[in-house]
Amino acid sequence: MKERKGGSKRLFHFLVIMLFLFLLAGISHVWVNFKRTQMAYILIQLKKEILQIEEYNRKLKLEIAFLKSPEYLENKAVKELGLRHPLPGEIVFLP
Amino acid sequence: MRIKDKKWIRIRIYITGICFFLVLCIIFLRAYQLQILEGSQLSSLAKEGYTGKFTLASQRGTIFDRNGKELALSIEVYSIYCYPKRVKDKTRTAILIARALDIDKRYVVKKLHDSRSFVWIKRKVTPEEIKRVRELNIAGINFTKESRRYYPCMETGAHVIGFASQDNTGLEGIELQYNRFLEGQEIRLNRIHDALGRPLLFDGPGREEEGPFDLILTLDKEINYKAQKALREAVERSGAESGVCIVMRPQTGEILAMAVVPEFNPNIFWRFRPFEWRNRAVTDCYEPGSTLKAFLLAAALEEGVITPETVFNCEKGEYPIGNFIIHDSRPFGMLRVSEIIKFSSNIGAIKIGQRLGPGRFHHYLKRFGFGERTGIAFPGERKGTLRSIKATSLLGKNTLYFGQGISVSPLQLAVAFGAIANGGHLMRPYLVKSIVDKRGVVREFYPLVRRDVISSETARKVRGILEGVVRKGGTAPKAAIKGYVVAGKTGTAQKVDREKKTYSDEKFVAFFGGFVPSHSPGIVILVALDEPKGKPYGGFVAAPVFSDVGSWTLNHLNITPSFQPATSGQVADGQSEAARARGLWAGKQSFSCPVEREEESVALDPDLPGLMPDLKGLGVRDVLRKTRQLGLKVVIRGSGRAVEQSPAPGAPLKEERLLTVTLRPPG
Repeated sequence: MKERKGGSKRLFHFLVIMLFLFLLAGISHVWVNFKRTQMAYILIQLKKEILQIEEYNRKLKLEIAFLKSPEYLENKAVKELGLRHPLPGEIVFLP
Repeated sequence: MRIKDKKWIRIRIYITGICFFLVLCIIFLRAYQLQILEGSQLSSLAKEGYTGKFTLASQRGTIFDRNGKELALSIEVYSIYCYPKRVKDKTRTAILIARALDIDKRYVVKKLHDSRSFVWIKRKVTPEEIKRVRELNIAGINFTKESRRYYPCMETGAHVIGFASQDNTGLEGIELQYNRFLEGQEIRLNRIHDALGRPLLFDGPGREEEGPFDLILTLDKEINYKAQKALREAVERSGAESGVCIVMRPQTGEILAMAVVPEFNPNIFWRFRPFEWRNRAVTDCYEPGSTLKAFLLAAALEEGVITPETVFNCEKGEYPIGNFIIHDSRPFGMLRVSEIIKFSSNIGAIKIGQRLGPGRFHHYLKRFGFGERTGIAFPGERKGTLRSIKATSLLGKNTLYFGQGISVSPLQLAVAFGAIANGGHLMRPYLVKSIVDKRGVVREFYPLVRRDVISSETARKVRGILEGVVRKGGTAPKAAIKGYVVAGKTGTAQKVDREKKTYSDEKFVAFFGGFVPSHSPGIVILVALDEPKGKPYGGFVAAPVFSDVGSWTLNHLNITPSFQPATSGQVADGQSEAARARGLWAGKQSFSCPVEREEESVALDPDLPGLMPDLKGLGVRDVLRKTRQLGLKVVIRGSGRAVEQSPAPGAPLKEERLLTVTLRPPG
């Protein structure tokens, strides 16, 4: 009778552990899915940001190219800073 | 427990089991219906709910100059379109849109009443305009992103780069020629979104995999700007209709600059007339005038029918050919070949040509690339006209010797001068160095020798004689560049008067083509001005452009002037007094710019193959470079510039493999 009682108890413990593990697996699965969805949102946001930054980068490159164009630089140098091109005799050629 | 009760319990168990079984059956049947029978239909329905398409605007590839500076690039901008049927109050909407975009109200009204379902309102608008329209928040007015082409250097190099249309298709220049490489594809991405429409995932090829190719040109935007500026000033000064200036590397055929006036801004190309878009350097052909004498000289020297010292009678400026009389600008008497070129005597050229013969001259003109395309890979290149000798009259055969009865493009002329500068090797000119993508170089273009036209010895002799043209007394002293020896040839060609069917006395094309430094040419420059007013001579209007562009380019390319130890302590003529006083010019006491060599020195250049080179005036680096090329062992003594060398220049290289060079600091 005692042995039978002990066997039922072990079965009960086994079932509780199994139930707990099942519950844990379920919660983990939900949690992983939740995190995956969250990550997808973050990822898509980052991808959008990358596209925007790439485009912004291209616009900055264009602006730099405009600002570095010889005509713009010469205008700035001559009209605003009062510089001029060196005369042939003013160029020093170092050996 | 009674038996009856036990039976009832069993029945209930059975009933419950059967119920469960039936429910399970129903579930399975429903699952079968949903998954198997209607599976594909339902899954596509569901997919439509959470997936969609996302489009990235197509981008054209970037065009860079030889130093990696952007010449053309694309960025995304907004365009405004509308669905006319969805716009309710069309008149009010038109007023608001027209005000926001600063366009005609009637134009917007017409667009809003269009029968089509989709119409563009305004494409590629500014950020301010898009902001103003967004604030209106009108139903039926929508926005989309498109790629717009920008040319940051504006007019600089515009005729080479060309431009692309609103739809990103190349229309002119390199943009047209390399359209299939530059054209980008629209990129479509798959998108998964949630119930609220928020995107969850993008899927598809990135820009890196599908992106267009970039081009790296041989142009140098700084040199091109300088050439453009100098040419613009010359055209304005001379009142010419148009002008062309080409700067080329003779050893490779790389085009460093190709400036054309009238100019246009490719960012707003539609505001200019089509003839202003034309790259006249390759599409227009002119009679080359006296510049052709340089090639007559090369041909005659190569064939051995003359030497630089051969003397011809220039008939005091009048020479009859059939019923016609050929004139010179001055009544020359007996002139040596070098003087005929220096003074540009037409009669002298005829005499040289008669000794050479028209057939051989024609053969050499073809060898120099006249009458055929240069192979530059540029749209609209013309090959010019070189008539066969059989189809040419006696007068035509004789006037051909001084550049009449033939038409050439400025590029052909520059390439032909390049052959003389490059030891007789005719190069294929090119504008694109390489085609690259995000991962690296896809295709590279290399210098290509089309053919050897004349020997290096003849080329050296021609270079020496052409130096005389730029010297005092020659036709182009204005082409001289302080510190460098320039060689070149002027040309002033009469244009044909189409109405009178004869040569015009008022319309001319002025040329100057040449290279510098003459002994080891670093650049070839060709300047052509169409219909200059006043003094239309090449030496007067085109030569100053050569000097201006040449001196700037040599400095930009770090091609140092050739120094020679001064024996008299004098500096070269024309050097500024101020610079001398301040000792800034490297030749302040013991060094001077070379006094241009006399014509006799043509044969004395020691830089001949098989002979010890003249290293005087060179720095350590140049000495080492030159000796390494020749496989010589060198001992360097001192520092500064080479003043002595042993063995002396001109010694045979086969016997002497060890060279001692003494250097001293300048001053």
